[in-house]
Amino acid sequence: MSTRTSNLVAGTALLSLSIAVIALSRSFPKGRPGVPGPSFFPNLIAGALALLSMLLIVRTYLAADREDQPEATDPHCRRGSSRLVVATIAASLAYVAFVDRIGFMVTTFAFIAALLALYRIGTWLKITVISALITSSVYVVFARLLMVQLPAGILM
Amino acid sequence: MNGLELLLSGFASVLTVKNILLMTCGVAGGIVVGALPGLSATMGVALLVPLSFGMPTVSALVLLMAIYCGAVYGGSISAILIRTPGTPAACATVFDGHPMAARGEAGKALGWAVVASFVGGLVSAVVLTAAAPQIAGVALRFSAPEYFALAVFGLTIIVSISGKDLVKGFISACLGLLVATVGTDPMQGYPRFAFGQMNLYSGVSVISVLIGLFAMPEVLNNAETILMSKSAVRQKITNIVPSLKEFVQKIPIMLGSSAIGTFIGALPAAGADLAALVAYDQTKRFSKTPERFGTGCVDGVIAAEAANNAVTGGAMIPLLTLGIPGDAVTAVLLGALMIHGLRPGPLLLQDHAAEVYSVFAGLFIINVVMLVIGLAGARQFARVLNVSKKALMPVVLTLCFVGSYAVQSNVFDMRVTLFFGIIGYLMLKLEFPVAPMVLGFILGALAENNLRLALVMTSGDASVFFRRPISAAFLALAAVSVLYSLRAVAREKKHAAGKQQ
Repeated sequence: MSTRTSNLVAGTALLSLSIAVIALSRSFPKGRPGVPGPSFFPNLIAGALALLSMLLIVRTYLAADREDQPEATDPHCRRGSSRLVVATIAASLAYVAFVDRIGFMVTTFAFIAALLALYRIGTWLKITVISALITSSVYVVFARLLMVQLPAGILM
Repeated sequence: MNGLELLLSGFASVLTVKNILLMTCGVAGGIVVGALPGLSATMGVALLVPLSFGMPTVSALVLLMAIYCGAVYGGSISAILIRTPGTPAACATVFDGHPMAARGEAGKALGWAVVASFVGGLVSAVVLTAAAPQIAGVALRFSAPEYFALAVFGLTIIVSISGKDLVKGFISACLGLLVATVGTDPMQGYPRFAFGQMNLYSGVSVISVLIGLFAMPEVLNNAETILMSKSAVRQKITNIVPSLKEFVQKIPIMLGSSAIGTFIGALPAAGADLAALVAYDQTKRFSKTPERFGTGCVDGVIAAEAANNAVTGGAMIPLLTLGIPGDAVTAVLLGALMIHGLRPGPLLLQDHAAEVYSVFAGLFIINVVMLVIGLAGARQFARVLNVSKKALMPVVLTLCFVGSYAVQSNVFDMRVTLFFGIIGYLMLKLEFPVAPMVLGFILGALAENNLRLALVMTSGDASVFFRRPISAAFLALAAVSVLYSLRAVAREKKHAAGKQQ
């Protein structure tokens, strides 16, 4: 996706967000003259956001014909594998969805093992050992040293 | 008690075996986090805030500051050895640090980086201790209009240095302000944008947002290139400790750069990377041999490292006196203070003088600890560069989740972290700066409460913000900082266009 397209998409999404905020805050209790109500501040910010996103859209649109579109020079923006990012997010989604149902130990072990496999760290033996090591270290630090009640779930 | 007595009792409360151990672990952990490219100081501090949750306030704060100081120095290790700044703050260290390493003087460069970081940190601690009570004294006279104007100033200044794109910076700040409105309305108790979700009634968890926006996007970004990552090259590291004669010779450079670093650090949100670049540039300008800069001149390393570590104390000034973070890390520290029940702002020094002076004292000791373990452990820390990212990223990701969970023992907070992690990653990809969003989120409540309070005070008359002198001054400063950055962006564009022709 070029900078131009991504700016247009982002601008449109942000504009929709600000409209949604204004629409949602219509149901809030009204303020009195001189006493702003709960919707006052969100509306103020959403209004600013709407103006800014329109500015972003218009500016991107106008700059389209010019060739001097700033290239992405940020080192963070180098090309890589977005497949791995999607997979990492999917694993994280599964983790936060199941950790309280299944339990911390098993879910965390599976989560780390899945990531290590994705990142091709080595053999299954290596993956199992590293996952077990990380899971138990995190458990010791949080549950034993910091006395945090980690999610128990049906297993552990 | 006067300031000196408070400082001495601060030293007394910090100098316990437990705290020194915590500071040592914090500095060492910070150096490791800083040295690893892909892990930033902000991320390290954000991840460890939940760990500090159960500790006494002073211990928690010195631990977090130790990580901060350690990480800012740690960035120089990878900058010198593998030409990759471990944190953005170390970008200017690469210029001369890496050529020195290439010449076989890696040890000398690392040694000077530690010494200069130590001097920078120490100078900034002195300035912090001297200046903070004065500024807080003035700020005590603030009322609602001033606080609102202050929040606006804090916001615009971070927006104004949030990269080349001002519009995106403002958008990011607006997003943060909107997130801050989620939860029960502070004045009328009406639940806003909670969608019937009980977990959102008390607002979005600060730690979840901090970890989500600052730590997770870095992991996801690293995941992109993780299959291409390779280990570092082995370097011989000798001659680490500089001689006393050399040290005395370099004092002017260290002090000058420390002053620049402290000053830039104290400007809200002008971070350590900028401080290092400015100090490097100034040192080069005043040098008798400017042509040697960039070819492995030790003065360049000293200037950059003294300045970036001086930012640590400088950035604490607006945080502790006005409640406005001086950079991204202090934004996280602000969150940590709030979790410990301290509301940063002018009243902090009055109500919690003992804690604040312990923080001052802690900063002095942390820098001494950093000097000792930095010099003694330079060879060991260099080995950190061989740690595989493939194993590291799953650890960090797990810590993101467990850390955000630990604060309230609530799985919902893990989900919030993931949500903001994805938002932060998208923002990174779409080139929106994340820091203004965090600042907007943290300052949102301050801005809203005081804006509404001030309007109620004057029956809706908005001119109050311009009629009261301090409030008007902050709003004027906010306008100046925006106009200044607009001009700077325009000039940079012109400069770039001129170069192309």
